[in-house]
Amino acid sequence: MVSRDEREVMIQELLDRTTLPREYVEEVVAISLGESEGDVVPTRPLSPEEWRRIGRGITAEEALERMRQRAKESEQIAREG
Amino acid sequence: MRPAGVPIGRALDVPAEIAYDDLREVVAAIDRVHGDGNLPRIPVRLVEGFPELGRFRFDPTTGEPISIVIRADQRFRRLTLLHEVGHYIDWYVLGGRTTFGSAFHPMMEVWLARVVSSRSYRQLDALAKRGKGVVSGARIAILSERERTAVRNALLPDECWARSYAQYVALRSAASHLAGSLTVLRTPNEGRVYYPLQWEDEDFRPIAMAIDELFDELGWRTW
Repeated sequence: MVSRDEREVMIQELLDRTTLPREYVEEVVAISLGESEGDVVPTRPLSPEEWRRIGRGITAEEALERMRQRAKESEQIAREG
Repeated sequence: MRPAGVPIGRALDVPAEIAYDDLREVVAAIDRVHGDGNLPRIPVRLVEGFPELGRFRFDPTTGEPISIVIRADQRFRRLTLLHEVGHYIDWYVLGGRTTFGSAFHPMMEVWLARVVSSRSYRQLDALAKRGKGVVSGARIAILSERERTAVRNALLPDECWARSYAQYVALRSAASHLAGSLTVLRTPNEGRVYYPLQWEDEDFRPIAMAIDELFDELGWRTW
């Protein structure tokens, strides 16, 4: 747990460097300190594998590639089937 | 085009207190844009003292959505509510309560393709991969690990969906109170690294059209 002063230093550093508003920066700092996993909050902790299974853990670009690959596979199965 | 189906306002349980006036304006804006497929009611509450702008809580075992909580002491409450409603729709409707549909559902392919090819996404992706950003057109700033974590989070499909849903409702409802928040987020500052979390109007147009088509297909909008 960081002190209030240390947290303020971290927040101020990001405010000075980026265009992010303070509220966004406070969230970023909490995530980077492991105090928050973001705004999607399950009622019990999820393992990294569970997070991936529900769709978090890959980028939108990787999700798109996977979606296209699955569509191709489905087409192939339909053709062969 | 006009909204079709059940108004989403019926699903969002927003208290009648004066403190919630701004959030009720947001619900009215959503109702002007689209209906829903009869979503179950979910409580929306303002809470102080947590670090995120908002939270969408769900039970991963039963799939049930639990609540939407909005951080009370912040300037972006309206946009945050839209963002969290975006997660709710993604989880409950698009993902069928087992996943976030933005990452899996074939209906999302066109939207996802347009997000990935948008200038905003490409810039965020470059920030995450290269770990450095351009400041004031020429100077290069090296991103801290903390900043890169934030950018990587912004590239998740469900976060892209929630941001684009919020911007879509702001655009299609033409609500001035929502446009103001977007302006703040889309204004670069001299000497600072710009994070294009929301899209410029022209960059967003194809994405908005993909969401139009998605909602038409869901029967949430009609002629």
